This record gives sequence, structure tokens and C-alpha cells, in this order.
Amino acid sequence: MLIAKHFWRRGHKVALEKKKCDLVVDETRVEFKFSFDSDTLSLEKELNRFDGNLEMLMKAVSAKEMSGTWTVSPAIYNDVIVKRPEIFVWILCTRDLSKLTNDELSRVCIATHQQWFNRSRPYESNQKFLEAFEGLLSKLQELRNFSLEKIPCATNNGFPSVYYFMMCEFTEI
Amino acid sequence: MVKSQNVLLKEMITAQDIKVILESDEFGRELEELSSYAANIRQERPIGYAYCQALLAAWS
Repeated sequence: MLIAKHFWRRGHKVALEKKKCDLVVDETRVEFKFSFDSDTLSLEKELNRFDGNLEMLMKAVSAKEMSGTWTVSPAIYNDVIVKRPEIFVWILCTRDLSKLTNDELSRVCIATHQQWFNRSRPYESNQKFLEAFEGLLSKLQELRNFSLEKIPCATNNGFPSVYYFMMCEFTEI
Repeated sequence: MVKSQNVLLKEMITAQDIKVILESDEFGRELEELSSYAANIRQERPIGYAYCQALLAAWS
């Protein structure tokens, strides 16, 4: 109620999850997706399977030869190409869980997979993981043009993390 | 036609508007907190809410 009142006073319209869109501010539709750096391996595998051809990848998903749920790229394709928002924000999160106890790890999403991933790609050097995600965004840019800006936000509440907000703004709808 | 285009432009926000929010102290505080209390989930939804909260703070 309070939020609605503030927005009404200022003449802005904000709606979360309106008509299957994550966020609508005035007339602008914004979609968010979230991935961990440890999703890199899955993403690389998906892109290699069809030599980076996204149309073929999506055909495999339609034919149920490939999961649309336990994968990375089909959901991103769906948001960018099918839903066609004005702005797409891909949040990429990297975490250092090395100092956590087993009890603390039990409360962290896919902690075991994260630790396994960091054994070969340590947290300190893991900006390299962005290459795979930027690779997918480049492929999508060929299908729908957009400008891309990366905004890193570091946190350290329990364990160090960096959130990279990959902001895609479409030049045409 | 020109009028409707102007109305459309006026009612759109841009990536720059979102960037201002993402770089605000309000959003930074929310992100710091949710990185811990929401560590057990993929966080696109709480981040969406945090974004809205920061947007509200920026507009008020």
C-alpha cells in the first residue's frame, strides 16, 4: 500500500511479475535472470553441442532432446528473443565459500557444486568465467541488437561474492 | 503519430536509470543483506524486490 501510494504520488507505475514479466516500470518491461559462475560448464557444453547455433539448440529443446529447465541458454534465449523485453538484466554471481563450515555450507545454494567448480577455477581468478556468458550474449546480439553494460557489485556478508549485472538494452523492440 | 511517440518515450525508463539504482547505497545495502539471508536460493526474485525498494527510495 505504502509503495503504491508513493508511486501514485509521483506518477510512476511499477508492477512486479505483471503479465509474465519480472518487472514493469511505467511502460518498460524488464526481465531478470540469475546464474552462478559454476553454471559456466553447463553453458559451455550447451554452446559446443551445436557449434554455438542457438536456433538448433532451441529446436533440440522443443523436440525434448534437451532439457529447457536444467540448462542455462534456453531460458536466456526465451527471455531475450521470445519475451522481448526492453531491458534484460542477467545477474552473474561468483562466490568464495572456502572459509565456511559444513553447517554453513548446508544453507548455501548448490554449495557442493560451487566448491567443486572452484577447485579448477579459483574464486580469485574467476572473472574469466564471464567469457562464456558474454559469448552467449554475443550470439544473442546477432539475433536481436542491444547495448551491453557490466556493473559489478561486491558483497561480503558471511562470504565474499561479486554480482555482475549484465545489462542489455535493446535498440529496437 | 508524433504525439504518441513522445508519450511513449516519456514513459520508458532506460538502462542508465537502472544503473543509477544498482549503484545506489540503498540497493548496495539490500544486496549485502540478501547475499546472506537468501544464500540458499538463486536470487533473481529477491534482487528484483530489492531493486524496487531502491527505486522507491530514489523516487521519494
